[in-house]
Amino acid sequence: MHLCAIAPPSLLLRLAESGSEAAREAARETQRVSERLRGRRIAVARALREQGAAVPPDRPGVTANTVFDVEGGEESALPGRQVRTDGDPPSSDTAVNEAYDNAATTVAFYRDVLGRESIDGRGLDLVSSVHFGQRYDNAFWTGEQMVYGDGGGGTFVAGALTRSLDVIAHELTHGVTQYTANLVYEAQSGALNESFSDVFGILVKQRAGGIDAATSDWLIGEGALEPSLGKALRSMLAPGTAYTGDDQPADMDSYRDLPVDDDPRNDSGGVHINSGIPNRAFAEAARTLGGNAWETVGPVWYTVLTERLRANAQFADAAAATIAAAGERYGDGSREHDAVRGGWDAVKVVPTPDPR
Amino acid sequence: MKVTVVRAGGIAGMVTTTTVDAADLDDTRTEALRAVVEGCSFRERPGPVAPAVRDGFSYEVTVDADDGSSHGVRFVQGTAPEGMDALLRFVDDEPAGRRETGR
Repeated sequence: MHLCAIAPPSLLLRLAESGSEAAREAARETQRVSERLRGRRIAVARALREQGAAVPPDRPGVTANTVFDVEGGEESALPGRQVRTDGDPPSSDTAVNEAYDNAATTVAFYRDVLGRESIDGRGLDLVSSVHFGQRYDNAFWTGEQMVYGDGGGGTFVAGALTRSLDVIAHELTHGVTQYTANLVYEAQSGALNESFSDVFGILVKQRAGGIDAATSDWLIGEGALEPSLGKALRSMLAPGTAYTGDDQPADMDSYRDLPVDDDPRNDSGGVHINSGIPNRAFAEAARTLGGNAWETVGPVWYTVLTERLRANAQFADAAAATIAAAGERYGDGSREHDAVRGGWDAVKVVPTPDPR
Repeated sequence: MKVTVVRAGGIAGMVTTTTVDAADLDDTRTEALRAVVEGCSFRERPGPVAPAVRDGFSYEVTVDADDGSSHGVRFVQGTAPEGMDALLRFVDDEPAGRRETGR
C-alpha cells in the first residue's frame, strides 16, 4: 500500500516526461497504479465512514515529520538533503527548526482537536523543504509536500514564511483538502479551497497561542510582509484591509467575477481574492459565539470540508452545509446554529435550499 | 528592448509587475539581458494534466523588442519554458528594474 511513497510523484513525472522510452512507460505505469491504490484507499475509507465505522489510521500517532534543505534549488531539486527528522536534535538552521516545529504543531492540532491522523487521515508522513530558490517570496504545497522560500525578495520579510505558524498550517491544510473535498482550484470552489486553508491556519495559531475569538486579530501572516506593503496577507474579519492594494471583497456585493484563464492577474478566477467572503463568514460566526473558535465553529467547518462538499462546491453550498452541520452538532435553533447562519448572512451569501 | 514580468498568485495572492528597460542599463548589462532573452523559448510547455500545486506562482513574460515586435508567454511555476528561469532571475536581480504591486 505504500508503493506511492517509494518514488515521489515529482520524480515519476520527470521520468514520464524525459526518461528513456522504457523508463517513461514504467513511470507512467507506476503513476497509474499509485492513482488506483489511492483511489481504492479513499473508497474504502468512505465506505467505512458510511457504515459509521472509524477509519483506522495506517500508523496511528507515528506520522514522521522530516525537513529537507533544497539549498536554493527549485522543483527539479526537491525534496533536497534531509536535515532533521523525529528524534534528531534541533538543527543550527532556524528555518529547519521552524518548519519542523510548526508542522508538528499543525499535525498535533488535527489529531488532538479533530481526531485526524495527518494530512490524509491515515498518518501520511510530513515532508517539508526549506531554502527553495533564491530570496523566494512564497510557500506552497506541491500535492505531496510543503515548500518554503527564504523570503527577502521584496514581498516577504526574510525568514517570515517558516516563522509564521498560520502560513505553515495553511499549506498543510491544502493537503487535507486534497485528500477530502478536493475542491477544484478555480473560481468559487477554489476560493473555498483557499478559505479552508486560512480557517485552519488561524485556528492552529489561535490554539497554540491560547487566543480566543474575541481577542484574535484574525490576520493571516501577520508581520510576514515587508512593512511598507502592509501588516498581513489577509484579514479574515475585515477582508480588503490587510495591505495596500488588498482587493479582497468583504461580501457578495463586491464579489470579483474574474475569468478562469491563464492570465496570472485573474488568479484562477479569484481564488485568493474571493476567499475573503467565506473567511469573514467564519470569523463573524466565531466572534458571535466567543470562546475558542477551534472548539465552537472549527469542528463544524472540519466536518463540512471532510464529508459534505463536492469538488465543485460553491459558496451557497458551503453555507448550506455548515448551517446544517452546526444544527446537527449543536441542535436546531442553538446559538451555534444561529451564529453560523448569521456569519453567511453578514457576507450576503444565500445558502442553497436544503434538498431534504 | 523591454522585459515585463507579471507574477501572481502565491500564498499572498499578490500581483507584482516588474519591468526592466534596456534604456536604463549600461552596455554590459544590456548585452547580458540580450543573451538571456535569446536563450528563452516562448513556447508553452505542457504542464501536468491536473496540477496539484496550491499557492504556486503564475507568470506572464513579455519582451518588447526595439523593432516594435513583441513576444509573450504565460506559464505556471514549475513549467517555465526553456531559458525562462534565467530571465526571471535576471529581472528579479536587476536593481534598475521597476516594480509595481497591484492587479
